[in-house]
Amino acid sequence: MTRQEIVDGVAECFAAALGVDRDKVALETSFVDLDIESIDVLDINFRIDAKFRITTSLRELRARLLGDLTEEEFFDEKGLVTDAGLRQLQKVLPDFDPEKLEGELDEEKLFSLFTVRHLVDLIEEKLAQTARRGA
Amino acid sequence: MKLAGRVAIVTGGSGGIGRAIVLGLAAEKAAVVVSNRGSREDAESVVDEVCACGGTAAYVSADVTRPAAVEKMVSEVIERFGRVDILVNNAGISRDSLLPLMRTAQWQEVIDVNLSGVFYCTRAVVRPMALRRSGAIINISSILGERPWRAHVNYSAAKAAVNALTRASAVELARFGIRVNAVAPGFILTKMTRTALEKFRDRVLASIPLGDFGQPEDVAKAVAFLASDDARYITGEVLHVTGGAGIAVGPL
Repeated sequence: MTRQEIVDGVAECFAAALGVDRDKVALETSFVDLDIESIDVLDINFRIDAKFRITTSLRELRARLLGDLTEEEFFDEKGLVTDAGLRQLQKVLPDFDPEKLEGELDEEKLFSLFTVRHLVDLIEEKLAQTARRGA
Repeated sequence: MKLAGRVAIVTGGSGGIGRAIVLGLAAEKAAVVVSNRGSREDAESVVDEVCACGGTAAYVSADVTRPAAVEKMVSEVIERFGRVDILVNNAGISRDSLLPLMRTAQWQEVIDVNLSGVFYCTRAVVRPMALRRSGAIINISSILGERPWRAHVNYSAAKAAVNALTRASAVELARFGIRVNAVAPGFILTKMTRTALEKFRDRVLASIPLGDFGQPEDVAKAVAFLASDDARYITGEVLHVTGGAGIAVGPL
């Protein structure tokens, strides 16, 4: 499966789950742009599972943002992202600029930083893994 | 033939009402998986009865109070039948006692089976149903969830919670094409209830507008209806199969 086929398939899942036009969903569209809530993500995950035969979850997406940092290193005791966490986010989110943040970055705001591209990348990697296992 | 091609799981499918539900769904041509944690022999006799009538049924052992066992049960059903369209959360127990004398274990066991079991089974079927964007879950509640009876605080509380769980999960799962409803039986004659119902026969009958005890098949018909596409626009409901018991405020 080509990357373009994955992109198209993911965009279809987003459009169907959210009831929006397919052209509203671009690679760099963020979850906040689409006003996505956690139940929407679950719906998108089910549609992706049905279409691509792989499971994805919010937890997996989140793990990609945290990288090698532990929960304690990424979040402080108030649940806000630490300086080490912000540096990690800059590594995995090329467009992320901590200077532009309005207020503190907590779990909920972190969720809004995901873009369609994150899910596409995750699916691409998982499909490649599945193909390797099958080979 | 309302359920041809569908696959159903009935927990506690070997008991009085459970057995009738299995046979009722099979009569509408669903393939039915009978699950229980008790007697394999009882469950297999229901399976045999379905198969003898030309239907499809299988037995899968599962204790609904153990989430891992429930997940395994659903995996086995998917492996064998490829899908699950209908879940009937029927498994239930009673551990009756007057409140001050009720042991903690009596309280907890009833909550574990009658309430937590419904949650574990529901959670386990959401993914396979959501992938097909279709499913019907029917929780077997009880008239006691709304109208109390002595020595049943554990059972009443669990069934009232099942009614709330039914509505709450209906709201959440509608998004995925899954309907969730409950059937609340009243005084149904089964092996489990016969002694008690016979003991209070006249008093109980006097409280039932339709003037008779119900049969397990009456419950099964309601379940088959809610499982079918005839109920496609019904979710979050508690359907009372009680002969009208509990609806009147004064003497009948």
